[in-house]
Amino acid sequence: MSHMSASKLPPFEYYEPATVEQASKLLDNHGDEARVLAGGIDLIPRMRAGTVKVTQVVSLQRVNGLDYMRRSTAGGIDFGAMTTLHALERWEDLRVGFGALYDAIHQITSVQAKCMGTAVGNLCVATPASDVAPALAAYDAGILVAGPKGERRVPLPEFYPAYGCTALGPGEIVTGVEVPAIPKGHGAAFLNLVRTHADIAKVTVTAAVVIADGLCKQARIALGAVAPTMFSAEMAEALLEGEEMTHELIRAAAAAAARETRPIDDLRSTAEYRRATTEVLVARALHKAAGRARVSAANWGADRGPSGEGVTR
Amino acid sequence: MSTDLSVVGRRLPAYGAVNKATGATKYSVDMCEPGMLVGKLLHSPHAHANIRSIDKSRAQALPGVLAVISWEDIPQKPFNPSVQDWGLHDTSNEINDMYVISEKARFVGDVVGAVAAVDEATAVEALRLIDVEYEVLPAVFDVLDAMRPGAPVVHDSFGSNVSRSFGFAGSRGDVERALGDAPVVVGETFKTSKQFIQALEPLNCLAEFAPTGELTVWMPVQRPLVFRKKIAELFELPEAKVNVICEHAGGFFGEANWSVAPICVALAKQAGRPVKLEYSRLETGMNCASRETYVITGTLGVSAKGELTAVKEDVIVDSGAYFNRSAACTVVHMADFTGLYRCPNVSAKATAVYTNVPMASGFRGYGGPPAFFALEQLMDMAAEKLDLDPVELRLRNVKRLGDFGHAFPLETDTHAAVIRLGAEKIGWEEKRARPKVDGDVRRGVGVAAYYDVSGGQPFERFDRNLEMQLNEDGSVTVIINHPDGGMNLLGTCAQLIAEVLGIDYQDVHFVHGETEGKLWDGGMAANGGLYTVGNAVVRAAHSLKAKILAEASARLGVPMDQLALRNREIRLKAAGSADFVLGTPVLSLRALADDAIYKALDGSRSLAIIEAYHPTANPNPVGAAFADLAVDIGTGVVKVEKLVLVHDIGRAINPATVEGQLQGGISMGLGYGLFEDPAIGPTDGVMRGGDFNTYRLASPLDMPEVEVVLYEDPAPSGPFGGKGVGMCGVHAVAPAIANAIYHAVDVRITELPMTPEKILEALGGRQL
Amino acid sequence: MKKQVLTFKVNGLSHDAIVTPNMTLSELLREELGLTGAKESCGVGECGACTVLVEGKPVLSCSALAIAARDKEILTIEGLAASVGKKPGELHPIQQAFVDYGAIQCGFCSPGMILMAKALLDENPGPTREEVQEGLGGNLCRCTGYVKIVDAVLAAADVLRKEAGT
Ligand SMILES: Cc1cc2nc3c(=O)[nH]c(=O)nc-3n(C[C@H](O)[C@H](O)[C@H](O)COP(=O)(O)OP(=O)(O)OC[C@H]3O[C@@H](n4cnc5c(N)ncnc54)[C@H](O)[C@@H]3O)c2cc1C
Ligand code: FES
Ligand code: FES
Repeated sequence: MSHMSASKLPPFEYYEPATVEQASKLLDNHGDEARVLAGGIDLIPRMRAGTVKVTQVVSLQRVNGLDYMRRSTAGGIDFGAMTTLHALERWEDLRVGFGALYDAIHQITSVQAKCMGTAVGNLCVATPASDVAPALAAYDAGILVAGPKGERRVPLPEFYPAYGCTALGPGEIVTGVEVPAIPKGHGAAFLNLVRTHADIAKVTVTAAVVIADGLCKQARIALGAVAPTMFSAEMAEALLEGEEMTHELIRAAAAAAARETRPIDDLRSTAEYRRATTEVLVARALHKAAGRARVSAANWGADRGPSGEGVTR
Repeated sequence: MSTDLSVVGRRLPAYGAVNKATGATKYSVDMCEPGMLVGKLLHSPHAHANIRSIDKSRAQALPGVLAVISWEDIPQKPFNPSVQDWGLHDTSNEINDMYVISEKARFVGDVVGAVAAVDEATAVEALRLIDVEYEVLPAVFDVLDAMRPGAPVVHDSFGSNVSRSFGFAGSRGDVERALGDAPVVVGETFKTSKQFIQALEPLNCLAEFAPTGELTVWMPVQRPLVFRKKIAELFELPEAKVNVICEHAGGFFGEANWSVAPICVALAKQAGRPVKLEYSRLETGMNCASRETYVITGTLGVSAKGELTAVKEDVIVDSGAYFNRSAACTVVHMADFTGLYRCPNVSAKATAVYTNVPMASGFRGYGGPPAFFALEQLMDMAAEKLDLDPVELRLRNVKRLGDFGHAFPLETDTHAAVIRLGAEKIGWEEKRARPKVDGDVRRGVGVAAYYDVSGGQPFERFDRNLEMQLNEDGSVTVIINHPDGGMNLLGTCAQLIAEVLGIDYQDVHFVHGETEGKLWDGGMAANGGLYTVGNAVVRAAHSLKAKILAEASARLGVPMDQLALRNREIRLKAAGSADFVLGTPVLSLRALADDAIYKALDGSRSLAIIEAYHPTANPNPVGAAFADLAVDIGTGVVKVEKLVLVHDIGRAINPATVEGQLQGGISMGLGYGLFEDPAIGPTDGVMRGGDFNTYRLASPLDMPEVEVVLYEDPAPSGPFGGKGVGMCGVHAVAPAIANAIYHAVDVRITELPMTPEKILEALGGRQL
Repeated sequence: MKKQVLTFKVNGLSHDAIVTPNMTLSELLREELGLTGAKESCGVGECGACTVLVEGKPVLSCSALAIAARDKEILTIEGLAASVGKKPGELHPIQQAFVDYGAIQCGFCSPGMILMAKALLDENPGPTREEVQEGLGGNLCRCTGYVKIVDAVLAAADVLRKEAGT
């Protein structure tokens, strides 16, 4: 039981490149022996516990140009790989315009973890239980990747091909995230279940809908902690799209989403509980999202911002 | 409440708080000694295995390794960390079944070896080089499975896993007949959980032998002098050659596993260098002692008038891999279960059983929290059958003056008033009557009562011996071996002493952090710190006062009864008045002390006394908790909105300290009730909830609104009327929550922790 | 493993230390500099006992690399009072409030709590009770049940606002 007594970090070489190209090159040269360090709040404890074993650590902390937050010209939001969760949480544009994403970040209990940890680091850990990944996925976020073969944009659900894995190839680094502008009639809601506030989620749900002319034009139901990876409940989404979001339809969609889960028993919960409560949370999130979408449709163009989400807590 | 007290009853800063706030306080985990080696433990990956062979040669050969030990290198003396075979307590039901390191692993994580090396990397490498050949044995993790014939036997010498069966000595009357006659009988089986202490300071020890053979041990320990004797016995050292140092510790909630230090000492002995052994959080989690897990079958008989006629308990104790405190905790548990209320017919019996999980021990509240979890739900079940309000049923059954507590008659009659006050604070009547349905949630309110002791008397002796001296500057120093673990015992004692001697509480100093040079003291346990140590220092202060006044009387030529101590001065009683406060100051305490040393022509003398105190009473603190909560019927999630706890403290010497004890206890009670869970695998015995990622403590956001109310009615035998508090916050929180859940959704959760999963299942699935 | 000479400031004083990449910030502070005020309780970022301020931001020193502190300014509990001009023996208002309100029991969590409270009040000088609970959400205490800690932070906020004249 060696993991019980480990506490100091094993030896490794440490690099502080100044550019993305240098970082990418270092990663490429060292292959599986190397890891990127962003805030380190996930990586360092794992290295101390011996669950991640690498000999080369490439810090992004002094790479220029990765710590940014800005509104895109189209009205969406962009942020960089070194932008901390804390900075995002305090960004007015995000809080007002992307309320479900704000909620997902805000509910992370440890302020220190938010001050150190980056949103991109959160995504790159590739745990199925991330709260941030489903929230970003529900907003159709894209991951910006740079590497030896140039740059590309990966839609969020595709960023997770399998349990604990990302779509990053050798030498590739995430440089930032783009969240597109939200249309009129958009509403979203975040909900999760935890043992205690600071614990990892048992179930985490973000639902987003666009309602126009009384019909659901677009539905996003992103789920975490109920399958090997974060995923979108596509069958449930398909049920909703093009239809009026009645109570019955929401129930049916929630039931469909629950059927799409592949949960497990672990120390935090049981598969049965996760499936049952996915249905409850999806229904609640859809109701909330639809309500906000209607407000958005009604208030579009008014000063209160582009969406009806506003501040939810 | 009398108002002529000037220091007692004030909210003064806790002892040592300034040093703690500035980071200056050193805990044993902060200590280092020149040439110190790093100790590391080798744990069994198997839940149950004989060690066929253990080859240490490769580890020993690694440069930088100075000690490698296994069971062969440890004195093969069976011991029990919590048992003292010296007459301090009745040991007839106890078992000495441990070795510091044994040749059989009995739970996943049991220590099978240890190393000391120049640095951590070398030590970790050395662990890898120890070759252990295990003979893996079938294992058993569930206490009921362990009792079945043919179950794997954890301790071969017993032939089965049932180690002890014992009845409760306080059983009386004819319970079976009373149950047969009772118009209302309720019964249920409850399963409690293994809550771990998880103090924030990790378990650790630093041990060093001097060239002349004296041993110094730094470690967090609540009963240092008891521990010194045990370590002296184990390593065959004279007690006076062992010094155990613990000035401040990062949380005292029960005796943590004392094998940390023996292993560290064995390493230091073999290495010939100081060794520090620091447990990781997971190792701490596994070894920091847990509450006994109980399977409790309880039955109550109640008359038509709502009076208890029978209380019966049959309890199975899951000791885990070693017996430890199974007997003592369970005796108290049975006394709590059968003794909270008045009842003519009570009986209880216990069966202790071994399993292949980490051992249990004494943890804040002792056997109380499991007892009240079961008993107080049974009381609500009875109230429902009788169609009586749960508060009313309790009021009809609380003990009154003249009734006996755990062993002594009650000193005050407060329980009914305490329960009524709590009901008023929570808004009981309105909340019982309000609509339960509120969207997706159902609201409920619940009550649970508790009582406790103020020390171990007469079952276990925590006697006190101390020295108290008047310093030449007029201040007072107390020499007593009590480490500070955060309860502010010393600060509270300073207030008591200051009150008696008419000095400032800041003029009371303590020399308390090491066993060296200390008189014997039983250490901190059993809710008895303030009551027993407080009484001891009050007596000592009175003796010192008499000595001071005698000295002053001789100096001034004034009869002693004309003199008093106020404001660091000796005062002359005003003629014809009983009022010393207005008397004329005649001599400062400083001048008196100074003169006695420097100017006394017949020889310098320090004014000092030695106090030996053996407590001979034991007042019962009582209390009640009330929970107001909402259950989400879609998810089973319980949101506790408010907890009210009223505690009869006798007298709050420092109200802030008492409130703090109760508020902290409440946060533990909340975790016990709702989420703290070591998640021991039912098929592999692996403890998955051990570190802070997996074993969750309440964070600030998990706390409901908490209202703690102190009820004061001085206990005649207590120091200024004070009695116990430290363990009490935790007792009634889980059952109050359980009863409120029942009120909200009509399901009884009989197993701890009461997770949303269990609640949803009890509801028959999601309700939305 | 390459060793480096690291220059950084702790509590206002410049320091040089030879570090290897695998040294954590808490090891640098506790073992190299003897500043044991920052405690390690979990070592995995879950308890906040090891919190120090780096460039004014709260950092879990158990999960930060020492080497990343190059040229940075670190504040530990030992330097808090002096950082606001207090003389030796005087306390920072947050420390004073922790002492006065009974917010300290065993004290093992206190250095981390107090520094986190400072970071919180620097950012939000007038927090509500709930905002204080949120601000301290990543700090565990096994002793107090947090009630008096939150009381103390709210009281300190009042004092600090008065001192700042706002
Ligand atoms: C106390 C605590 C509470 C938490 N609570 C929550 C919660 O409630 N919900 C939730 O969703 N999360 C939670 N988290 C997770 C937290 O959000 C992440 O651990 C953190 O954001 C990781 O970011 P980092 O910058 O520290 O990543 P690092 O630790 O630096 O990196 C993490 C991983 O991502 C890789 N990586 C990082 N950046 C890049 C990049 N640009 N390109 C490629 N790979 C990269 C690293 O190599 C590493 O493998 C919590 C964490 C802690 C410590
Ligand atoms: S020790 Fe760093 S967060 Fe617990
Ligand atoms: S005071 Fe002991 S952990 Fe907080």
